[in-house]
Amino acid sequence: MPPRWRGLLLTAPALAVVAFAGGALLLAARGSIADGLGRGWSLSAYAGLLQDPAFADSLLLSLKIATLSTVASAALALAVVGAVSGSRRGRAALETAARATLAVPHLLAAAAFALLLSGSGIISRLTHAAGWTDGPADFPALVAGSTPSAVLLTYVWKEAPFVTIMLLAAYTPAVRDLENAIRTLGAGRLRRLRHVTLPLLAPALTEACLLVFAFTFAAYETPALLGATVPRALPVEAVELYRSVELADRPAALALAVVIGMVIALAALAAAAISRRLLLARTGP
Amino acid sequence: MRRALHSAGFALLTVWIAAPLLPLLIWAFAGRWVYPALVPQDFTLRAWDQAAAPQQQVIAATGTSLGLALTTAVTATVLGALAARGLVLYRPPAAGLVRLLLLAPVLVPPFALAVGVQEVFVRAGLSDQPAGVALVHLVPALPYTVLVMIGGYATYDVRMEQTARTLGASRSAVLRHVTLPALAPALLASATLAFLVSWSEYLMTVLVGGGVVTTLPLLLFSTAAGSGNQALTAVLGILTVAPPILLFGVGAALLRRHRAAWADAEPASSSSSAAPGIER
Amino acid sequence: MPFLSSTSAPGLRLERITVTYPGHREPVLDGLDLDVDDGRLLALLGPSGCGKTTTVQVASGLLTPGRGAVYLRGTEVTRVPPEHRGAAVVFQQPMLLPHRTALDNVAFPARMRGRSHRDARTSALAHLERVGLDALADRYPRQLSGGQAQRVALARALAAEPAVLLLDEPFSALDPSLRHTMRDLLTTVQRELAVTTVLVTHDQTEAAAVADTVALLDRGGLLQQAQPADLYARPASLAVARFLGCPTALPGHVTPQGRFACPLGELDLPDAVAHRGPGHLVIRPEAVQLGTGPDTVAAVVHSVRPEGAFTALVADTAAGPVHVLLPPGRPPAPSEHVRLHLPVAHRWVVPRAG
Repeated sequence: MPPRWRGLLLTAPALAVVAFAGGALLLAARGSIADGLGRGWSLSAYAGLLQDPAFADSLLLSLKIATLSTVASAALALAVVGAVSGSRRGRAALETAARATLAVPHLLAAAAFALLLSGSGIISRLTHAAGWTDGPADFPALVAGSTPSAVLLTYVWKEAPFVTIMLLAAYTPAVRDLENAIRTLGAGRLRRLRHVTLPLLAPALTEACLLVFAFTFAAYETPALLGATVPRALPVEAVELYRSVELADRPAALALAVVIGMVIALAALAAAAISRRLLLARTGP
Repeated sequence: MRRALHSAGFALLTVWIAAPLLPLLIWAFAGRWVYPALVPQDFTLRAWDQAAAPQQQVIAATGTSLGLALTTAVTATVLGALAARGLVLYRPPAAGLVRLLLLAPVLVPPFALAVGVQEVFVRAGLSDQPAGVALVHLVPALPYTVLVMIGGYATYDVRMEQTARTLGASRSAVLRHVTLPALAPALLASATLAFLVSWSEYLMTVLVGGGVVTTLPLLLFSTAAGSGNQALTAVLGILTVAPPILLFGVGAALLRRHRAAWADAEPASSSSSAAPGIER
Repeated sequence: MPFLSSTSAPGLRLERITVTYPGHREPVLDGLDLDVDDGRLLALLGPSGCGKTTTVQVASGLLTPGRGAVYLRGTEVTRVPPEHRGAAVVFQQPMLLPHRTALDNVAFPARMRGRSHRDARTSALAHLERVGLDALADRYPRQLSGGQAQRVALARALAAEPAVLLLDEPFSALDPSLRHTMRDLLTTVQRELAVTTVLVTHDQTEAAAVADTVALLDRGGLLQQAQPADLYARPASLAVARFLGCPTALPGHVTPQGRFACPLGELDLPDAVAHRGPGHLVIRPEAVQLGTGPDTVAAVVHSVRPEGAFTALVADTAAGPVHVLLPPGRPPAPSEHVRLHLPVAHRWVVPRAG
């Protein structure tokens, strides 16, 4: 057997797992265009979603959560990576801190932020002690309030370190050498950031943003623990429907799964287009 | 000035990490802690006793979590290492596509995957079983192990294996004395990540395990969501967060020792790294 | 013409530079003094690890020395950061911005000085023309060969209109044939613009081919600084002679009358030898000939080794081994008795070390 094909054989077990996942997704999609027992063909689940105003609210809420988390995490990560770029010790400390946060499960972060941010939480007690608030009811409703503040804070706390790790990994000695090289050509700190650091970290940043968006759009635990009951984030809504005893809710839940998947696929396509442009700008047509 | 900036930076990092985690530590030992007290009125180990009680299933759930996470770590790392070896060393046809396919599960929404898998398992009789849950955990873990192992193989020189073979080493001896030591850091990082993915998994476990397979995150979620028992939530939280942090810490220490050992073996390689540029 | 340069400030002056890297006990540069005449090309030559690259880092401002001072055209710049110093560096790798065309890379320094986009590009094109790459102005770095990319890097450094141009092994990653072309380009451009230039290299033929002056560096200190021909004919020490490919060193001493006394007798020396007292007689292998007659010394062939078309011979004399590079012909065999002719004009004496 030629070695090139042997290489493919080595990837076969891993590909089998992916194929299993792909098959499962197809079955889920199939269930969304069937009746409650998974038989026949029907688009009624999707029609139902379109008529349901709660669906639009959920979709908007999830888009808002994912977009804001992504933008805030990316901005924060870029700021800290830019701030420590010149110092080896700073980079090491930042990397250690980011890794430590990475090790904390999302669910735990959500539970911890609940203890921190709820009406009778630590922050609320501190503002009371400082004389800024009169009681739990006077404290802004970060948890389960009308804006998903606690959800966003939890996501930024978890995802900003993740983006930081991705950026630091792309911030190789070669990039720093290039910064040094253009430094001798008259480029100060801000210009080095603009002309070398940002363009060279852009692909990693795009990739990180896609991963953060996909995760925060589809994740269940954090909005389930810290979000309001109306409107609910799309994954929370989907899980509730899936657990419902109503037969008709099943295709609706699966249709929501398809919608979540479609939004992420669109985000992936957008990221791929951006990556392609970044690559083109580097190699020419 | 510069030193002050450094200290401020370190302080900010510490606060960033500690802010959500410190209250957890206090709550775990708090007895009565009524609003608006800033510190608990009394300290107790009651929540820990509660967690140790058999009817709370905490110990059993920890065991299940550990078993699932270790299984996932080993399986995903082996699969990832094999795939990376095939992709990097053999450059098979359509390598780019295969790589993309292997990394794609990182984007798959857990809910969609879980309900789809449930459909498959109901047909295959694997639903509500630990084995089925382990198989599901493999899916989100695999992209990480593939990515890390591709990185590991990228700097791996296969001629070391060939050299060892010409010196009389058998295939298993090459694996033991050449391949595994050279890839040890990547394998460790890969297994750590896969462990973490499985250990943190909630939604897919609950949907595919059907409530029969109980892991630590399941207990944490139900306690945090419904019970109002903050002390028990904190204890479960600490039990959930301690192993990953411990694992990362041990992993980092091992890696540093490994790097130090390998750096000593290469005295001539310092010329490029000795130029600190603006590092000072 | 040393008297000419002494009237004006040197283009670059390093004064008692000492650099010790953190975690190392031995300094990389140990009180290094170096002057580069304004508008001239100095080659910084030395074995790897001798501190050449560190010297470039100090001169460019990428590294602040622990002790010592850096002057550009008479102005102290020791603490001036690289971006305000005017010391452009060409590294071993081209270090071009991957997302910019060749033209925009060369236009970069002018943009940093606040020139308009159009203006910067116009002058950039002129610089690309100077290195013969104006036709490839719109290419991205990935679309350039190694030599082309390095020429763009040279054009970019020149576009910075630097007070001093620092070249850190710029050609060592290139093919040998390409290296010659690049050397010629460098000398042409450098003479044309009369920019003070430091070329770091470990290749002595490269140094001798392009430099007005060669500075030989070893273990963080300056061994000798001289014109290339002088460096070969009149090495200042045994270390210099050895580094430049002259292994023969016969111990003895120079008499007050200027003759070299050793077990071979008293040998005549050229008048240029000013040294008196203990020393080593050095003579380049290619200067020694096999011969007969009164002006020769007896020797026994120790080893014979072909070296391309030539033959490298080591012959033992009463004063020690003498290395000979013989032109094509029939070389003697080991243990054969021969007589060696050591031409007086090629004899030189270095002081005994320590």
